[in-house]
Amino acid sequence: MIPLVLFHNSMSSLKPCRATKTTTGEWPNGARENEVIRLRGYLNQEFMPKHVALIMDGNGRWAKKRGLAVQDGHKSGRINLKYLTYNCSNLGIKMLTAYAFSTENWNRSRMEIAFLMTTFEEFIQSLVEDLMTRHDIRFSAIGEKSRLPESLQSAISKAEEMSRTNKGLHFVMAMSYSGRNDVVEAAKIIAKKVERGTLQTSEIDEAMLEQELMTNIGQFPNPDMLIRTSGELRLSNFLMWQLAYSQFYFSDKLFPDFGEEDLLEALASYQYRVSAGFESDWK
Amino acid sequence: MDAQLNNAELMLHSKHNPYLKRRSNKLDMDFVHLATFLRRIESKALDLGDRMQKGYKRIWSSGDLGLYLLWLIMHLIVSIWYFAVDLVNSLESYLISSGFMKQYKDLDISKVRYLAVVLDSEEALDTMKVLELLRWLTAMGLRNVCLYDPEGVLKRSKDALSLWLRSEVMPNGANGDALVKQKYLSLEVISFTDGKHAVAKAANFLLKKHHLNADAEVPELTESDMADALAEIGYAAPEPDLMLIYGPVRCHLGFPAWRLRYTEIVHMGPLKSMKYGALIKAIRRYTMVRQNYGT
Repeated sequence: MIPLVLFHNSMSSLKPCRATKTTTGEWPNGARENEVIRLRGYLNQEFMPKHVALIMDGNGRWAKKRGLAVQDGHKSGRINLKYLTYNCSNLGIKMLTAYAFSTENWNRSRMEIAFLMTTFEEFIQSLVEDLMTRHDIRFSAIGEKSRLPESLQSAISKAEEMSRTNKGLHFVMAMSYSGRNDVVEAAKIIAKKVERGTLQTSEIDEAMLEQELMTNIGQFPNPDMLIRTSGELRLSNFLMWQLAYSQFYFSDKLFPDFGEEDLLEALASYQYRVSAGFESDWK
Repeated sequence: MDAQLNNAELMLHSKHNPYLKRRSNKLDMDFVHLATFLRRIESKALDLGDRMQKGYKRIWSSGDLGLYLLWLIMHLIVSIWYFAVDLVNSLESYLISSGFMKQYKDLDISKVRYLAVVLDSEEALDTMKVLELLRWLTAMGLRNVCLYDPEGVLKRSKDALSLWLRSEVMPNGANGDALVKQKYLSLEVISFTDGKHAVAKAANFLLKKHHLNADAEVPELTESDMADALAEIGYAAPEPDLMLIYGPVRCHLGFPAWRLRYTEIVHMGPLKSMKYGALIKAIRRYTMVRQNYGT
């Protein structure tokens, strides 16, 4: 079974350019349905990663390639993220952490930032209506939320509260997030506890720091794999502490083009290494 | 044949180490590359034949002939495919290291100010392979390299590696002038304890510092404070521009997370099958990358 997965993974790179989505992000009907059905059959539930981290890169380049405005790229990316969240939920993945906005992104133009914040708010609200109510998905947000607009903070709080008791996929959106800041905030929380006397310790260790990291809101705080789109091979200050033993999958596809088929290929690549026994060697 | 190939390998190393005396002309160097490339093809063909033989034996030992035949055919197709892919990669590496591909000739190595090499601890036991890799990096002009393996295997062989490298720079055992000293590879060797453990120690340092100052308020720590604390306790080190991972898994195995913000990460495969051409390709790719840093 695994050689077949590998064979298919290799052959897929030789296929001609695939159908691209329309500007609204809708899939052409039945474009890759057969491909998806075949790939799903290859995956083994036993080796499915519990927590997948996702760096959604390439929205701007996707739009530029098509002669569209950057905003159209972000819109398509938002729609694709919703589909991928749904796909991950269906595949039995327990936690998905998506890197929506980094602290470095605050250096972008005001107009782009304002548009992104509006996009995030609309996305969270549509997520509440659809995925959370119908698919039992739990929503959380991590990062420096105090820097976000109040309306977005309010939408986040509402969505977190409404989905708190959901038992399905835990979808985490990292907004205004920095991996380094995550570690510093964890150290601050421990310092506060020591100051208040709620924590009696003279020595902070790695385990204590890990317990206070922002991803500790989920059952599986450390990702099993990281997927990054657009061909970039970096972590870009994302979950640096948590990704110590995560398997990396770098895709050349721009994020709006990264569909279910590509997700399945990434998972197949992960499963091959796990089933071959490599995971036990490094974890 | 083996003796000739061993000599060929030595000559190959001399080509990649500018400090050893060159003993052959360009035609001999091309022969060396070709011989190494052909030997790789030979080993891969033998490996494929071995697998076919095992599959054939399995058919006759099982009662279910049809099922095993089907499995064998599928496995054969996949094996042939991967053999072909590997062949293409080996050919590409040969062409790159022989200088036939012009775009790889002029490498702007100055963009790689600090290179990290992550090794699986089992692979790190192969000290000669690690030394060969360091020779290649030195020959390419890299001056600052950080070696990492989770279990600290490389820390035990650091002195030996440094000594061997220095002895190749100054074969006559002379102390050398300032120009020669500049050619030394600056080697940093770290392990898992230099990562998360160091950050925990830095957090302790900050906590004690604020307690000692009798500051009743909760300290407003920043990333700069943590960076300064790491420097104070002896863990200040540059962020690598590029990280090469040698091992079966595409994972950085716990490399100090604090230093990985914008590091380009490339998985090179097992150390035992490392290729000079693949190394050049990875470094060249890095030099062509344009980082936006989130903007």
